[in-house]
Amino acid sequence: MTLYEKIISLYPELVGYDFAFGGITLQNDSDGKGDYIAKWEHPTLPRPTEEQLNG
Amino acid sequence: MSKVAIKGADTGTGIFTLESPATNTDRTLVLPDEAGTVLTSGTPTVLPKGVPAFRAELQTSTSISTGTWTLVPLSTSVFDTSSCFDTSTYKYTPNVAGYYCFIGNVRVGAGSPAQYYSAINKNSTGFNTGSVITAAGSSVGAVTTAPQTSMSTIVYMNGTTDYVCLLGYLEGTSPFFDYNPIGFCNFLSGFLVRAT
Repeated sequence: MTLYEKIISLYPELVGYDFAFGGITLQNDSDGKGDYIAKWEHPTLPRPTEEQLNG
Repeated sequence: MSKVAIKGADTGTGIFTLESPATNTDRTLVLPDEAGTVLTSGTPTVLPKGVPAFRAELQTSTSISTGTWTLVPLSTSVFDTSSCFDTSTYKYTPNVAGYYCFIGNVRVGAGSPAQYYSAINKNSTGFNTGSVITAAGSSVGAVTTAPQTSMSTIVYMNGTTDYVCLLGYLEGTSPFFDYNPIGFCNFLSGFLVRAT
């Protein structure tokens, strides 16, 4: 499951959210470290913890 | 002391004249210490050797994550006259300060693709968190199954720490950077327009 899918699973209300230009940005630097949250600026939803994402 | 010799050609009848303008100022014209033909204002444009130029490509299809800005892993350097493109970090860090022209192309594929975007970034690997030089793309409802966008721009690079890289973004099922040897590929290319 990708980071995007984990976030959608945790916050289904983010389906249709603009991840390209919105306050939440997911990024992958192609350095072997995988996807990560580069920016989380959402008015109501808190940034998920590693525990929540990996739970 | 070195010597200066002026030699006429063995054949021909024309007379070459070295002529000064009307001036009261002493001037010295220094010839370069190398063999070659001196150019004039009538000479067709000739770019000097040593001008940095490069092209890097992704020569295999590569899976990416949906909804995630991804640095295009340009792992093949087609040519790189100044050895400034890093095929492990996928960044171009020129070693001559000046204005550079960059051309980038991003081609992706996915099932049911929605939003698609691409960008050439300066000094950041993140689109929404970095310094975008130029971007392109298509929003929901305007994306084909294999969207592709070319971008070009001219930007100043300091010749030491400034770098550029290529980014892609796609929302869809099993998205990937697409490669087809007939000519569809992801690439970043550039050259020095004017040194500073």
